Amino acid sequence: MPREKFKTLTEQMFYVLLALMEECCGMDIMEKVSQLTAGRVKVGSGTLYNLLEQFSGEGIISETKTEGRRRSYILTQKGRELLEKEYTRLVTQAEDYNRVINREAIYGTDTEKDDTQQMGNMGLAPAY
Amino acid sequence: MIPNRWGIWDWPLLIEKLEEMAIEGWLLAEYHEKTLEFVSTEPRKIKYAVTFFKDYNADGHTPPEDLVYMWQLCETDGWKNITQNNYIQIFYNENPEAEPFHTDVEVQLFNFNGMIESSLVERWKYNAFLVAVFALIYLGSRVPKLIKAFSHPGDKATLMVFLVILGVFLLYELVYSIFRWHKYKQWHRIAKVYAQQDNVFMAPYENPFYDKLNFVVTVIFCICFGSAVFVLGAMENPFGVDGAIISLEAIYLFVMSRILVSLRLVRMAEEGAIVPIKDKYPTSAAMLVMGLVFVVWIVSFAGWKPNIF
Repeated sequence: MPREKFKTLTEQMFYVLLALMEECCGMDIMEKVSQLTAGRVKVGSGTLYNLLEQFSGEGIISETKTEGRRRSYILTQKGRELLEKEYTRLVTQAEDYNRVINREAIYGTDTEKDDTQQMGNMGLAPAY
Repeated sequence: MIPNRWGIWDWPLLIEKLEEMAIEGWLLAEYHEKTLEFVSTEPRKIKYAVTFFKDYNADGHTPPEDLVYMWQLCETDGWKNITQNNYIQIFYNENPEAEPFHTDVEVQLFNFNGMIESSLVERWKYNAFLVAVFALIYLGSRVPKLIKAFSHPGDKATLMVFLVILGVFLLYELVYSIFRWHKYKQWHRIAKVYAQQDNVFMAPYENPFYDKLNFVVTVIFCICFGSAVFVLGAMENPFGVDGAIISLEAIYLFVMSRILVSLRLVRMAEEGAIVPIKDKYPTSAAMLVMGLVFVVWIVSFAGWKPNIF
C-alpha cells in the first residue's frame, strides 16, 4: 500500500527541508545539501524544482523574497512540524535497531540460543 | 527530422533515442507532437532529461515566470532547456558525468501524475466543448423544425428514438471515461509503491484492448448511422420526413463529435502504450469514415435520392 504524500520523507525531501531551516536561495540549496551530508546526498535540479513547487503548494515552505533570478525560501511552522515528526520517526527506528543489536550481542541470535540450550541440556557450559 | 513515435509515457525510450542521435552527431532542436527536429553537431555524449511543467504551454506563448525560474534553476547545474511542447520540457547537459536531473523517483512520479491530471482535465473540457458546439449548431438551425416536429405523432416517436440513442452515446462516453480514469489511478497506486520501495519508475500499464475496442465500436457506429442517413433519406419515411431527417442530422452531428472524442481517446491510448497504437489503428481511418458520413449527410440534406430502391 503506498504511503500518503509526505507522510514519510525520502532523503532528498528531508535534506531540502533541513537546508531551509534558515532562509536560503533555491539555487544554493543543492550546494547546501551536499555540504550537510558531506557529499553523500545529491539533489538533482529537476527534483529540487519539483520539491520546491510541491512544498510551496502544501504550505510546507514559503517564498520570502525574489531578487531578479533568485528566489529565497524558508520553512513554515507546518514544515518544521513535518521535519520534527520525520526526525522522531528516524530516531525511534534507530533506537529499535540498537535495542535489537544489543540484545543479540548479549544473548546471541536465535540459532546461537538454541545451541546454548542444547549445550546446557548436555551439561556443558556456554561459550561466553 | 524524424517522426515522433514517443508519447508521454515513453520518455525513457525517447531519452535513449536522443542520446543515440547525439553520438551520431545530431542534437535535438525542436520537439513537436508529430516530429522531432535535429541539427547537425559534433558527435559527442550528451545527457538528456524529460520533465513536465504543471501548465499547458503551447508553442509561441510567453513562458510563465515559474517556467522561466525552472529553466534558470536547472541551468545552475548545467541542464539547459532545449525545447518544449505542451507539458513536456526537454533538457540536455553537455557534461556526460553531470548529476542526474531527477534523483528521487517518488518526486518524479508526483510531477508525472500532476501533468496527467492536468492534461486529462484539458481533454475533457475540449471534448465537452466539442459536444456543446455541435449541439448548439444543431439546435440553432433546427428550432422551427423541432417545434413543427412535435405536431406530428410519427415525428415524436422519431425524436424519442433520437433521444434514446443520444442518451446511450453519452452514457457510453461517461462510462468509458470513468473506466480509463480508474485504470490510470490503479497504475498510479502501484507505481507509487515501486517508487517508494525500489526507487524505480514503473512502466506504463499495457492494456490497449479496451482502447482498440472503443475505436472499433466507434467506427462501426459511424458506418451504421451513415448508412441509416443514406437509406432513410432515399426511402419514403413512414414516420414523417422532417422528424426523421432532424433526428438523423442530430445523430450525425453527435456521431461526428463522438468520432472526434474517440480520436482524442485513441491519442491517449497511443500515449499509454509502449508500442503506439497509431501504428496499427491509424487515426486517419476514423477521419475517412467521418468524411464519408459527412458526404452522405450533405447528399441527403440536399434531397438527392439515389435510384436504387
